[in-house]
Amino acid sequence: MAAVGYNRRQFLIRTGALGAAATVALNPSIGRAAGVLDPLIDEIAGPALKLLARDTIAGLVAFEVPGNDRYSRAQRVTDARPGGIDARGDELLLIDLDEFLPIPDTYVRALAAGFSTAVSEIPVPLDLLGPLGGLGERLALHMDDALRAFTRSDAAVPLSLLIALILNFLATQVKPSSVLGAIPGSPFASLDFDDKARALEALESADANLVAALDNGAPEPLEGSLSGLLKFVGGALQEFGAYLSYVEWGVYDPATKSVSKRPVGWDLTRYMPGRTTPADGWDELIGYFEGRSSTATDPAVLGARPRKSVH
Amino acid sequence: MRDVIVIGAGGGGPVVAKELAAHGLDVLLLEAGPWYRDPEREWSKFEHDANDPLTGYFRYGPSERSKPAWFRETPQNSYLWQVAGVGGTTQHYYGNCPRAQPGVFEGYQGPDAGAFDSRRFPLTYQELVPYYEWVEATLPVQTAAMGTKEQLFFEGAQGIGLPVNTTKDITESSFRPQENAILQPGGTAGTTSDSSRLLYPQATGCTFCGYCFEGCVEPRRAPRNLKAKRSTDNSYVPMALTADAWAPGGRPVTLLADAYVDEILYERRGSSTVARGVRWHDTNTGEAQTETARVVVMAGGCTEDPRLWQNSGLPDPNGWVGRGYTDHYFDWVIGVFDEYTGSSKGVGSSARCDFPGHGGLENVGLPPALQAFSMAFSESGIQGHYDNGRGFRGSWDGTTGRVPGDELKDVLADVNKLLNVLVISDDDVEAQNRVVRSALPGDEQGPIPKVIFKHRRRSARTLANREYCADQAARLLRAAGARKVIRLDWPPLILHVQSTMRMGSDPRHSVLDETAEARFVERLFIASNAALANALGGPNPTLTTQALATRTAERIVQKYFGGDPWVGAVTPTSSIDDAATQAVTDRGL
Ligand SMILES: Cc1cc2nc3c(=O)[nH]c(=O)nc-3n(C[C@H](O)[C@H](O)[C@H](O)COP(=O)(O)OP(=O)(O)OC[C@H]3O[C@@H](n4cnc5c(N)ncnc54)[C@H](O)[C@@H]3O)c2cc1C
Repeated sequence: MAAVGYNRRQFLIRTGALGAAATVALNPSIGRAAGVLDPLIDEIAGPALKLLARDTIAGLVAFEVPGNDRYSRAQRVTDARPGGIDARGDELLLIDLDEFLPIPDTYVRALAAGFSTAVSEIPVPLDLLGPLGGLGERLALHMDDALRAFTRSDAAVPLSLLIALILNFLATQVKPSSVLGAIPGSPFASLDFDDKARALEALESADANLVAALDNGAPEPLEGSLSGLLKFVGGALQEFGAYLSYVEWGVYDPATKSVSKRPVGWDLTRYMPGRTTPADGWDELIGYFEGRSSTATDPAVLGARPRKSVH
Repeated sequence: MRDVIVIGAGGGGPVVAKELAAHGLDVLLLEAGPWYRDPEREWSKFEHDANDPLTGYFRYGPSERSKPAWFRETPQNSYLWQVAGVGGTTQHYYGNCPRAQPGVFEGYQGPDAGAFDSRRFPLTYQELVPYYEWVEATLPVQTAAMGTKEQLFFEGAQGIGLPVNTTKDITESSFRPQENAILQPGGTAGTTSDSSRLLYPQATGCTFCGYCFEGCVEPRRAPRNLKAKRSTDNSYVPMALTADAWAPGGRPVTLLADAYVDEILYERRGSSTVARGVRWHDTNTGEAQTETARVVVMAGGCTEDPRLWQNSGLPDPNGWVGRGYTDHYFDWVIGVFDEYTGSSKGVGSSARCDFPGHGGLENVGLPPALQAFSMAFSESGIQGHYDNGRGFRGSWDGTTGRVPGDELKDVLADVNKLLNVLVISDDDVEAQNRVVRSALPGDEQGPIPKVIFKHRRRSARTLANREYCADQAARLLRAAGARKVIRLDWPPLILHVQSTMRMGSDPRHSVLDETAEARFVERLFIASNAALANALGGPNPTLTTQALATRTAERIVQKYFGGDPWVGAVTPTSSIDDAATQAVTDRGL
C-alpha cells in the first residue's frame, strides 16, 4: 500500500470522508450496528461512508424544513415545531436517491471517479486540519481504499454518497473550518444556515471547479451533460428535501395503506385536523358562479352572428 | 393483421381507439404502464404513496413498483411530470377543458392577430369547433362548481377589472369558472365530509375530496365510467372497451397494459416509407412481440413519441422531430390569507382567467407536500440568500425565489389559508426546446430521451407573456385580500406539454400534415399532445388534443378504410350513457 499523499488526504478531509472515519473509529458501536464483516474496511470505512452520506443528507433536510434536532441546531436555525428530520425526510431522501433514483450506475461511477481524482488535485490551502491532520495514516488509507474501490469496481456507488461528497467539498470552499464542525461526519451539515445556502448556490450555478472536477472522469459523450446534471440535482435536492418532509411516509404502512398516526406534515399545515385518513369529500360546495351551470359556443366565433349577442 | 394499432393510453390514444372501435375497426391499444382496474383498493390518496416520482402508483415506470422508474435526462433545473398507465397523465390531471385561443389557428383575422405565435394550426378554429363540441359531449365537459377558493379567485378577478366570459370560447381578456371534465356534484356530494353518506348513488359527481392529483375514486361504489373526474381511464377507455354495447356495429378495443412499444416497423414502397406495425415487449416477462396493422397511431406523449420515432430510425428530413417543445413556461404565485381559503378541498382548479396573446391564470389547490414542493421549486435561488442572477421584483412582495426553510413553515402553517395561482404563459414554438436521444446508458426500451429547455433564452414574446401573467396573478391575489404575495419563478415544470411532433402547413418546420399523418411516413399518425401545432395560446392542452384526435380518427377512416365522417352528422354518445354504464358493470370493468 502506498502512502496517502498530501492532496489526496485533503480530498478525504474536504469531502468529509476522514471526519466520518474518525467518528466511527472513536465510536465502534456505529460500525457494529451496521453489521460488518471484513474487519478493516468494513469496520470503519463502510460505516464511515454511510455516516457521511446520512449526516450530509440530514443536514440538507434540516435546512429545507428546520426543527429542533441536532442538524437544525448545528445550522443555528431551529424551530420549536417538528421538522423534516422528525418526519424522517432524511431517511426517505436517502432511500430515494440510492435505491430508486434510476440514474445509471455507470454514470454515477464515472462521476465519482472523476470527482475523487480531480478534487484531490485542486490545491486549495487547508491549514485548518487540526486533529484530523494528525489522524493515523492507516485510517486515511482505509478511507482512500474504500472510495477508490467504489469507483473502480462494478459495485454501485450510492448516489447519496456522491452527492454528499460534492456538498461537503462545496462546504469546505465556503468555509474551510467546517471540516471540524459540530457534525464531524459532514462539513456541509456543520455549516450554519447562511453558509449552507452559499454551498447550494455553488451547486446550482454549476460551480466551475466542480464541473471541471466531474468532467475529468466522465466518458466522452457525457461531458456536456455534467453542468446540466448539477443544475438538475441542485434544484431537485431542495425541492425533494422539502417535499419529502411533508409526506406521510414516516408513519405509513404500505401493507394496510394507512398511517399509524398523523404525519408531521399534516400537523405542520393544519391539514384535516383530527383525521388520519384522506377524506372522501367536504361540505365545500357553494354553488355556481352567477348561478350559471352550463355554457355554449359563442355564436360570434362561428362568424354567423355579431360578436356579442344580446340575451 | 390489425386494422389500427394505437400506442399509448393517455390523453389522446384512447380517443382515437374509441372512435375507430365505434366504427367497427379492429383496434389494438398498447400501454407501457399499469392498468389499475380497482382504484378504490389500489390507490390510497396519500401523497407519497401516490405521487413519489420514483415509487408512487403514479409515476413514469413499470407497473411493478419495486422496479425502478424510467429515467429521463433533463439537463437543467426542471421537472418533467409524466404518468405511465391506462389513463396516462390524465390520471393526475385536473380535468380542465378550455378550448384553445382562436388566435392560434390559420385564418384568424382578429385585430390582435399579431399577438400570437406565428406557427399556427393548419386549420381554422371554426373547423375545429364541431370536434370540440363532440368531445365536450362525450367526456362530458361541464361548468365547474364553486368552492371557497374559487369564490376568492373570482373576487380577485373582478377586483382587477376583468369581465366574466359566459361562453366556451375566448374572445377577450376575461375570467370564468373552468369548463372541466369533472361531473357536477349531485345528491350529497359537496355537502358533507361523512364518508358513509358519500357513496354512489347517494352521492354523484364530484365530492370535493381534493385529491384530483392522487387519482379520482369518487364517489365510491360508482361504476368506473361514473367517477367524477373524466381522466381517460374513466371515460374513453371504458367506452373503447364496450364499443359493441353502445355503438351499432361497434367492436371492442383490445387493450394491453405493461406493453412497451420499442420500435415502429416500416418498409420502403417505391419512394415512400410506410408504417406496417410495431415491436413491443411485456414489461413483466421481457417477452418481445411484433404485430402488424394497416395504420399505426403514436400517442405516447410529447417526450416519448419523438423518442420512439428516433429509436425506430424513422426519417426526419427537416430536423423537426422532437423540436418545438412548448410547456407554457409556468410560474407560481401564492397568496397568504388571514381567512380560510379551502385550498386543499374541492377540484384541483375550478377558476381561470384568459388573456389573448399572453396566456392565462388558474387557481390550484394542493395537499401539504405538493404545496411544499411548489414553494421550494425556483430558478431564482432562495429568497434573501441568493438569486442565480434573477430575483425579480414586481407587484408581488420582495423578490422571486424559494421560500427558505424557516419561513416556509410559517407560510405553510395553515394550508387552507393559501391561494395558489398558476401562471400559464403563451409560449412560442422554438427549435431549441426539444427532445433528443440521451448519451446516458439506455433502458430496456432502448436509448432514453433527453428533454432540453433553454428557459433562460426563450423568445422575447414568451418571456414578456410570463411577466404579464405573473403581474396579473399578483394583482388578482391582492384584490382577493391576500396579506402577502409570493412569486417563485419556477423552472420549467413540464406537464402542459405540446408540439414536439407538430402539425403545420409549412413542411419546413412541421412533422405532420393537416390530417395529423406524418409527412415522411405513410399510414403513421400522431394523436398525443405532440401533434399540437403550438401552445394553444395558453389553454390547457388535453381537450384540443382530444378534439384533434377525433378528427384524426375520421381522417383515418376516410383515407384508409373508405368510411364517411361522422362528426356533425350524428349525435355523440356520452361516456356516462346508460348503455355504457350497463356494459361496464356487466363486464366488471
Ligand atoms: C398534475 C397535472 C395536472 C394537469 N391538469 C390538466 C388539466 O387540468 N387540463 C389539461 O388539459 N391538461 C392537464 N394536464 C396535462 C395532461 O395530463 C396532458 O395534456 C395529457 O395527459 C397528455 O396526453 P398525451 O396522450 O399526450 O400523453 P399522456 O397522457 O402522457 O399519455 C401517454 C401514454 O402513452 C404511454 N406510452 C408512452 N410511450 C409508449 C410506448 N412506447 N409504448 C407504449 N405506451 C407508451 C405512456 O405510458 C402514457 O400512458 C395535467 C398534467 C399534470 C401532470
